[in-house]
Amino acid sequence: MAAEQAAGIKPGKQIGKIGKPSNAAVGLRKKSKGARRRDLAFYLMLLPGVLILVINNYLPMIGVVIPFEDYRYNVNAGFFKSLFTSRFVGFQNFQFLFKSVDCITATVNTVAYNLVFIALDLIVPIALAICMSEMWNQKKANTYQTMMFLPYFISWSAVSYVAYAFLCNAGFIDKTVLPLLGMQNIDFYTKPGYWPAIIIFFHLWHYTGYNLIIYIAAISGISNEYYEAAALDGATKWQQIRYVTLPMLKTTAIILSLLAVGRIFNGDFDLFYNVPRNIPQIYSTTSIIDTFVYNELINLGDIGMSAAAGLYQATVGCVIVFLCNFVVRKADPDSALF
Amino acid sequence: MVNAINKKHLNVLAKSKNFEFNKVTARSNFTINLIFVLICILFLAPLILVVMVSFSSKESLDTYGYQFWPAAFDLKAYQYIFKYSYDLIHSYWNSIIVTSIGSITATSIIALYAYPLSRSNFQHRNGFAFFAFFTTIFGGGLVPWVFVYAQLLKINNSLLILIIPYLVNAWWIIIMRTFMKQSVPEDLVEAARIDGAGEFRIFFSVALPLCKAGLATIFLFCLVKFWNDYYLSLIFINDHHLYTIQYYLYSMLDNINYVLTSPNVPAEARRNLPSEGARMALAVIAVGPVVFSYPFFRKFFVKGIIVGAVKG
Amino acid sequence: MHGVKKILSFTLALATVVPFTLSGCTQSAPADATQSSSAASAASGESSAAPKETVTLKLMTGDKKIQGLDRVQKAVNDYLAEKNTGLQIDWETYSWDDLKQKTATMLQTGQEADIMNTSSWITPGYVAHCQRDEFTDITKYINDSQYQDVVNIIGKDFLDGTKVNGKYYGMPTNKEKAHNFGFLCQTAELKKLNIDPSSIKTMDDLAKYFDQVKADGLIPVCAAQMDSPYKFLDWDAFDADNSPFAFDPNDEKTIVNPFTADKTIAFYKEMKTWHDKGYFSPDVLTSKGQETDMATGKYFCGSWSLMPGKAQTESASLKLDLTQIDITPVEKTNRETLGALLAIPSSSKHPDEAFKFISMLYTDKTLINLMTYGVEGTDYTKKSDNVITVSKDSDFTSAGGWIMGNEFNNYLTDLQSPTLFTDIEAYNNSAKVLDDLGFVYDTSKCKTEYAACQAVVTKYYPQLFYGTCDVDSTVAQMKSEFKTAGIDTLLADVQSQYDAWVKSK
Repeated sequence: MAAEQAAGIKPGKQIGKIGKPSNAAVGLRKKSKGARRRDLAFYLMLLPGVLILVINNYLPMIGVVIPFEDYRYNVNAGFFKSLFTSRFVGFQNFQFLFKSVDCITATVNTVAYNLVFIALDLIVPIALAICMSEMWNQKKANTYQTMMFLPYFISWSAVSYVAYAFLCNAGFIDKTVLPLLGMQNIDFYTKPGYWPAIIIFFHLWHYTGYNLIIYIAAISGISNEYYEAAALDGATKWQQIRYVTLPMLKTTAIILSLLAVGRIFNGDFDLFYNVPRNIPQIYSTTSIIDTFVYNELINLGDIGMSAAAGLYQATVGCVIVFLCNFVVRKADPDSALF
Repeated sequence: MVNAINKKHLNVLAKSKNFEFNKVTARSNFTINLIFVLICILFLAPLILVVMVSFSSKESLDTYGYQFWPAAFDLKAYQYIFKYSYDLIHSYWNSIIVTSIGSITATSIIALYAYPLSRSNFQHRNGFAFFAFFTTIFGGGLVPWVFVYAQLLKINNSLLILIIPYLVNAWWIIIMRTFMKQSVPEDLVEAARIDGAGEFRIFFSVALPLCKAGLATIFLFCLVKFWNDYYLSLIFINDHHLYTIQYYLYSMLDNINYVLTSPNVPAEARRNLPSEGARMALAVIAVGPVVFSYPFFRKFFVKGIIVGAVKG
Repeated sequence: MHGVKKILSFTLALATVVPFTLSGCTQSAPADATQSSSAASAASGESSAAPKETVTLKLMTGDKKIQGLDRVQKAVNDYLAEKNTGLQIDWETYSWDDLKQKTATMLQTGQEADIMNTSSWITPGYVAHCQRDEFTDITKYINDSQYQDVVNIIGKDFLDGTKVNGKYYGMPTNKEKAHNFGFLCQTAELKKLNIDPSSIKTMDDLAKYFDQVKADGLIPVCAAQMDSPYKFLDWDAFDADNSPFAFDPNDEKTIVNPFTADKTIAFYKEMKTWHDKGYFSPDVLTSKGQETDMATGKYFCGSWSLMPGKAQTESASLKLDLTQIDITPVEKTNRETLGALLAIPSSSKHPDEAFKFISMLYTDKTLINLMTYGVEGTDYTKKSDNVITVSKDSDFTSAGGWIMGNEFNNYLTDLQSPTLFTDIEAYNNSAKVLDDLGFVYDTSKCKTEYAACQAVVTKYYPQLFYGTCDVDSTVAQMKSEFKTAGIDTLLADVQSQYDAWVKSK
C-alpha cells in the first residue's frame, strides 16, 4: 500500500474489472498433455510478477501481527523468527492512537479532503470536457488539453518548490499580488486556515488533466446520432448536455467515484507531505493518516505504535472497499469491482 | 456506456461531434476559448515562475521577491550549483540508471504477467488477476513493508531497493491485459499454435509485436514513475552516493545551504549566495527531462489512461 | 518481426540478470576503497573467527556535509590497512536533522550499521533506543581487561552516567564534562556595533542591538529546531530535549513540564515580539541545521552549548570569525554524559570489530586527528608537535573533536588557546553538579503517555519557540492536548522514580 501511494499513477483513477470466475467445466475435463505444457509456460511467465507481488505486498501482510507485540528485531534470528518470538502485548500499542488528538485530526482530514476531491474530480473535469467537445476548433482543444496534462508529470518534490515559489515570504503572492491589492503579508506556512484552499488547488492542478482525458474519451464515444436527433427535435445546447451527454457519462462517473470512495481512507501522501513541507504548525489542516503514520515513525521511534497506526488505516480502508463493493453489487452488479 | 469506447475512438481523442447546424454560437465558442486560455495560464504559470526565479539575480529576488519577469537576469544560481553541488551529477546518474533498468525490467515483468491473463484458455487467469488486484485493496502498512526489505531481503541502501518495489503494479497489468486482448486476435494465436509454436514463441513473435503500443505505454508509465520517485529514497537510502535526483531535490528545499556553504567559498562571498535562485534552479534541472520529452510521450499516456478506464 | 523478438528476448535476459549484478556492485560501491568488503560481508557469519578477514564498518556521524569526506575516508582506510587492524570504514556524515531521521528508521527497522552518533538531544534519543535494545549492550567490552585503558581515559564515573537499566550502551566522547549556554556572534558585526562582549550578561542585553543588526542586512538570530534561545532558560532536560519533564536547576526536587511553565510562557511571548520584528529568518520553521545556516554568514548570532574555546572551534569549522558570549552558569548534568556518544546498533554484524574501532578513537592519536582535521599537508600543516594550521582551501572541515573519541588527543589549531585543555579542566571543576546527574528515567511503565506527550511537544514547540503563532491560545491548546496525552500520569511516574533514585543514592 505504501508503495502504491507513492506511485505516479493513482490507481484509484482507473476502472479495472476482474472478470467473474471462469467456467468451471473447463477444469473438470482431464487436461491433455499439450494443455498442461501450455499451462506450465503460463506459470513460468507469471512467476516473476508473482515473486515481486509476494515480496512487495503479501509478505508485509504477515506484519499485521507487529502492532500486537513488542517487536524486537534480532539480527541473528532474522525477520520471521523475530516476528514470532517477540513478546505479545495485545492492544497496548493501539492505546497510543486514542491518547493522541492528532490521530483523530488526521482521520477527519483524510476523509474530508477525499470527499471534496471526489466531488471536484467529478464536476471540474466533466464541465471542462463538455466545454472542450463543443469548441469549433478541435485542434485548439487538443492543445489546451496537452497543456493541462503537463502538471501531472511534475514530480511531487518539485511541486513543493512550485508551491514555495508562490507562498514563501519572498514569494509571488506576498511580494507582488498582496501589495497590489493593498493587503498585508500573509505567512502562509504558519496559517492553517489557508491550507485547504492551497491543497485543493494543487490537487486539481495535478490531476485535472488526467481526469479530463477519461471524460473527453467518454464524450467522443457518444454517437453523433443522438445529438443530431436531439437538435432536429429543437433541443438547445443546454438541453443536449442535460439529456444526452450527462446521462451517457453517468456510468463512467459512478465507477470512478466509487473507486475513489473505496480509497477514502488512503490519503495522497505525496501531496500532503511535500506541499505543506511537513510543518507542525499547520498540521490541523494538512495532516492526513499517511503523513501521520510516517511522522510517528520518524519522531516517536516506536515501531509498535507506528505499525498500529498503519494497521488501523489498512483495516478501515479495506472494510470500506468491501462495503462499497457490496453496496454497488446490490445496486448494479455490472459496476462492482469484484 | 464506457463499453462503447472502441479502438477507433481511442485514436481520435479530439474527434469533433459538431456538425454545421448544431454548432455553439460564435460568442459561446469565444467564451469557451477564453476560459481555457485562462485555465492554461493558471496551470502553466507556476512552472514558468519557477523557471524565471532560477534565472533571477539575487538582488532582484531580495528586493522584489519572486517575479514572473525579474528586474535583472543572471545565471549565478546555475553556476553555483554546478560548481559546488558535487552530489548533483551523481544523483542524476543514479536516477538515470534506476529509471532505465527499472522501466525495462518492469515492462517485461508486466507484459509477461498480463499475457496469460489475456488468454481465454488459461483457466486460472481470474485467480491471478485477483492475486494482483488484491494488493490495491489491502496492505500490511508502512512498517512491515519496510521490514521485509530491511530485515528479510536486506537490500535497503542499494540501488535495487529503488527498483524492486515498483516493478509490478496491478493497474498496469490490467491495462496491459486490455491492450493484449484488443490487439492480439485469438484466431491468430490459435493458428500459431496449430503451426506448432509454443506459448513462449507465440508470446514473443505474435503477441508482443502486435501490442507494441501497449508496451510503449507501460514503458513510459514506468519511466515517469521511476524518474519522479523520491519516496523510496526517503525511506531506505542513507548513503549519499545512492541519492536520486528527486530525493536530492526533496532534501534541498530545506537544506540548500548545505550545497552553498562549501568551505571553498570565502566567508564574505557567502553572504551573497543565490540560495533562493539555486533552489529553483535545482527544480528546473530535476524536472527538465520530463517536461522536454513530454510532447513525445503524451499520446502514449493518453492512450494508456483511456484503455485503463475501459472495463476489461 | 524478428528484430523485435531479438530485442525483447535480450530485454528479458537483461531483466533477470541485471538485478543480481546490480546487487553485487551496489553493496560494494560505497566502500570502493576495499575490494575485500564484499567478501567480508559474504563471510560475515564467521568473520569474527577469522581475524585475517577485513571487516568494513558502516560509520554514521552527525556533522555538516563534508565534501572531502571520500578522500579522507580513503586516507583513514589506508591507515587502518597499514596498521593491519583488519578494519575498514564506510563513513557517512549527515546534518543532525538527517541523522535523526535516518537513524530513527534504521534503528527501528533493523537496517544495518555498525557505529553511529547518538545523544540525548537527538530525538528519539539515546535512552529511548537503549530501552528498546536497539543498541548493542557493550558491558562486556567495558569489563574486558583489553579495554581498560579506554575506560580509564573516559573515567569510570563519567562512563557510569551513560548506564541505562544498569547496562552500558554507548561510549561518550571524552570532552568537556560541563556545559553552559550562550551566544556565538559574528565578530565583525560586534566590532562594527561597538559591542563589548563582556558587557552582555543576559539574552536581552544582546537583543537590544538586533534592530541595528537588521539594518546592516544581517538576520539577527540563527536558530533551527531545538537550537533556539530557549536554551537560555536553562531547563535541566535530563532525559531528552523533547521530553515534557525537566528540573529547574534552582529547584531540584520537583519535576515540571518545562514547555508550559510560567517562565517559558513569558519566553514564548518575547519570541513572538522577536518574530514580529523580524529577528528570525523567514525559513526558521523548516530550517534543519543551525550550523549550516550560520555558515552562510547571513546571520548575526545563535545560541550554542558552550565551553572554553568553543568560538575558535566553531570559527574553524564554519570558516567564519565568531566570538562567544556566555549567558547561563556552568553546570554538570546528563547533557554531558549523554551529549555525544558512539553506539553500536544491535543490527551490526560486527560488534567486536566496531568496539575495537571505537576504542582506537580514544587511544590512537593519528586516527582521531585524521578524522577530525583530515590529511596532513592537504588539509592542514603542522606548526609544532601539537599545533596545526588549517589550510584555507581544505574541503574537509569537521565540526570538531566533540563528536567522537578522545578530544584531548586532538591537535590544537593555531587559532585555539594553547592552554585549552587546562582551561577545560578548570571549567569542569568550576561547574555546579546538579543532583540528578546520572538519573535515567525508565519509560516502560508509561510508554504510551511518554510517546503521546513527546508527540505534543514535537507538534507545538516550533511555532512557540519562533513566535509564529498567538501564544495564549496555542499554549491553552497545547495544555489540553498534554492532558489528553496523560501528562499528569507521566509526571507523577517520573517524580516517583526520581524520589526512589535519590533515596537509593
